Amino acid sequence: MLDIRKDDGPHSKVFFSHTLLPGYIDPRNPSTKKKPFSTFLAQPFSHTVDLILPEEIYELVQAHLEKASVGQLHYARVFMRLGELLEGDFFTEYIKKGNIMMLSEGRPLADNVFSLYEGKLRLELDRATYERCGLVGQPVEDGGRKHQKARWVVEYDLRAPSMLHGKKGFSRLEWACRNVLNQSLMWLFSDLRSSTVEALRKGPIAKHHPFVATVQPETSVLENVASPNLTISGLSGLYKQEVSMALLEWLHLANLNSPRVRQDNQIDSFLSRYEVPDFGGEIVSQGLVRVRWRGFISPRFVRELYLRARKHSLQVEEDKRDGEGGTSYLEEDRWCAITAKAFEGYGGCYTVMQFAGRDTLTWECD
Amino acid sequence: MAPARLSNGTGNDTTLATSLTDPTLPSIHAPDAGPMTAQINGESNPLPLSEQQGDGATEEQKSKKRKRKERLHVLHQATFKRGLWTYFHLELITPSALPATSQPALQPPNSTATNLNADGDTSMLDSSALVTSTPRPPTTTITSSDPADIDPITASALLVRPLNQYLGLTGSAIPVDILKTHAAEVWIRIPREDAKAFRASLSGWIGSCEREMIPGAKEGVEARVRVAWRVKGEAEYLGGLGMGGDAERGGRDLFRG
Repeated sequence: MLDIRKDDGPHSKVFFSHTLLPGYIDPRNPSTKKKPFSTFLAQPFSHTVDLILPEEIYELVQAHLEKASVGQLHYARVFMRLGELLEGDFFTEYIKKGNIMMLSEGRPLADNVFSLYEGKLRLELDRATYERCGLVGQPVEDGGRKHQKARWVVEYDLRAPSMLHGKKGFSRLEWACRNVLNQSLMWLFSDLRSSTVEALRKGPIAKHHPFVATVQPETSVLENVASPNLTISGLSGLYKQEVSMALLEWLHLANLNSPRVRQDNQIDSFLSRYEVPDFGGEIVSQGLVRVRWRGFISPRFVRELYLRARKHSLQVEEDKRDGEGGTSYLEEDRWCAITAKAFEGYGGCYTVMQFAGRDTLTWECD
Repeated sequence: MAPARLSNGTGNDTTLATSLTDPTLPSIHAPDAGPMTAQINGESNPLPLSEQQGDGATEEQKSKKRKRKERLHVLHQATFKRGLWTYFHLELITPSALPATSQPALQPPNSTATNLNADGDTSMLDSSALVTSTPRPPTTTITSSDPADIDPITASALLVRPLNQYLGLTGSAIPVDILKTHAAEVWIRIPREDAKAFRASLSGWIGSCEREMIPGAKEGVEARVRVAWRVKGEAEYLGGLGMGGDAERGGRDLFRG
């Protein structure tokens, strides 16, 4: 009706799934293909992670989250050039032998941005820089005019055996880094092998004088939240789009600490017509706790957080276990939810809602 | 409020298995093709080998293993395309003199930083001691009525004016739900189809409002100030919009520290 522009172009999609966890999850080697683990891995660079759970469940996991090894996040900020990634000790220790992730500053569709994850270096360049670099890349969509390829992406797998000093392909990359991409930038750095401050202090990165940040979680208590009474038996009723998105909206409003989800919300319907969905059941009032981390967050951190939260707070009692690692108590209503937001240009956000037992609801928004 | 338009996206009964992570996973509603389906689905075949070969196999070769009913990993998978709502995170700015404060005042300074000196000496704020000495970690109980917040009625009035000016009467009839206000920031929800028109009407609008109504603009001489709306975030899901600070700038504040 009020069409200012045509409704062309890619729409934003939400991928929703209701999955069952495997019966046994090996904490050292969890699955990477099953949800929610594949969801965590699909978003490598996140800047905020929220854990939301009911108050009584939070008390069980509180002590574990305060432990430094789990609850604290370490990352570093360095000021270096792209060429320095490919030199000497940094290259052999971190990229060839280790596992790091790095992200350069810059706006993804406007500046030249670089990222390194799983040994794959990704350079996103504008057309002029791409032509000067002399490297081979692919054009990507930047939302501009059709048939005008303005953004190009060059990818290198630095762990490949052909990426060694002296080889031709690698020396082309080095030439480009020396002559074209030789500006010093701010990078965010995270070592995925070891998550301690010592590793950041003593490793090859120390010679670039990183600024090491330690992030403590920020806890907020939300009282008297009007929540729908969800049980495992009712999850199959959430498959329709409106219903599922209503639940997601409620979760996000609780995350935002909005007064509309409070029990004592009395705003006039002229200002807001939002109502807490009840999904055919009743609305109960409970306290929720939101724990938030802000920093350079790796998928491994989110995964560890998820496994800890599930293990300590959503334990299934002995008499209610079915033989497959889940729960046979169909009125189970304990849950916890994790929301993570990606850096701009590197993804959207996802929300994983885990119930006690095996049921998991996942919404991946792009 | 029952929405008049029901999205006829793919969230209805006929589900669309988009299989974004596992392309070999067929649709849940595929007709049962017997033992082969179970194999394709990647689950361990619960039927013993003799039953696969057909009923003619000898009975004594039947496995004595307990047959478990394996439930599939993915119970349901769908893609939602055209949602009902679009969410905005707006900030009211006063272009004239004072910037409206956008840092929430209640956040405790929880992120500590260790600065590396040349000789490896670290000075770390010992917040771990804080944690162990108190029974609960530092929490903030956020109350919903902070006197420094913009009033929803004022926000609503200031949103209707640009809509009226740019889009006329139909514009002012766009249902805007105010989800939260904090200092000069407002989170709202509007129907998805009107998002582009709404955004277009907010850009380039400058209005005026009484000074007392705007948090952060209390000082000054004139009774009325010029105000404008800045869109800090827009998305079809609320997830990333509330994450505080410079989140909508893509986490760029992390680069600056």
